[in-house]
Amino acid sequence: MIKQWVHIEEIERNGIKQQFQIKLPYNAKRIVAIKITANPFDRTWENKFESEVGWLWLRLPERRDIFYSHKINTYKDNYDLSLPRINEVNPFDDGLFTQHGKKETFQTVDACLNTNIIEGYYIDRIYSQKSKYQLRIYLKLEL
Amino acid sequence: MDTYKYNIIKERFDLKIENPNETVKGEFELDKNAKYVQGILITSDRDELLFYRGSQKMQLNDKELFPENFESRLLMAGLNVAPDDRAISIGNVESGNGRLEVTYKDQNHENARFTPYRVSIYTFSIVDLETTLQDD
Repeated sequence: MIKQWVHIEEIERNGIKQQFQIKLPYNAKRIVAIKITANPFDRTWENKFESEVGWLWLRLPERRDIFYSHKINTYKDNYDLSLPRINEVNPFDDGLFTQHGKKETFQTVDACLNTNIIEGYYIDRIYSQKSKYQLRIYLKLEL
Repeated sequence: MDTYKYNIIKERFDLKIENPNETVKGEFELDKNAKYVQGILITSDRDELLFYRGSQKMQLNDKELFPENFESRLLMAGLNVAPDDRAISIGNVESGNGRLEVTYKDQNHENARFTPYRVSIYTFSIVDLETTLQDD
């Protein structure tokens, strides 16, 4: 049986280095997929390029150490969009959602669990504006 | 031949979000012929609010499809996605008593100021797993 699990970390300030733990259900045997999102205030349609949000490492204590690391960018990477169109404006202009690309997908991993704790380490990389946002870690767990 | 058996049953359920930071729960009943739910899609009349502010928990017949705090933006699709690719596949989940529960949570975000908006949940279901057009 596969169960989805969501962990939220509140990121409160610029450049913060944050350690945290994710408590999983006791009957979780394996992590089979991961998805990371962050929702900072962003103006990527103005600067035309996606920008860095933060770096994340996830670790299984004692057993395997770091099994996952990820560089989080603004939401464009969610849509498999490397460069916006040259005349792109606010994708939500006129109330129409015209951001485009593909479905969100989870990244497949294979991490056996002998503990119900995952340790995480996150560094915020937004220096140009006020950082206050949520980092969300989605896990698909095999029970 | 019973043509309804070959249809994909498409249904829409709406939630109204009237206040910022509110949690709205909706309980809906699927069509009695919708025995297996294959896909789900979320849209809104204010997509930017749904994208930045929304998250939801979704349960079908007490089976959890998406856990609490699962962002709505992960279930959205833009106009440039081919219509046939837009819904999120959830496999063939038995609808059982056909009761779909959605708990939608609105949360403040600096990119999207609140205004009352609608959240629409679309479900795509089939009648029978075995039935194909070749059967008859």
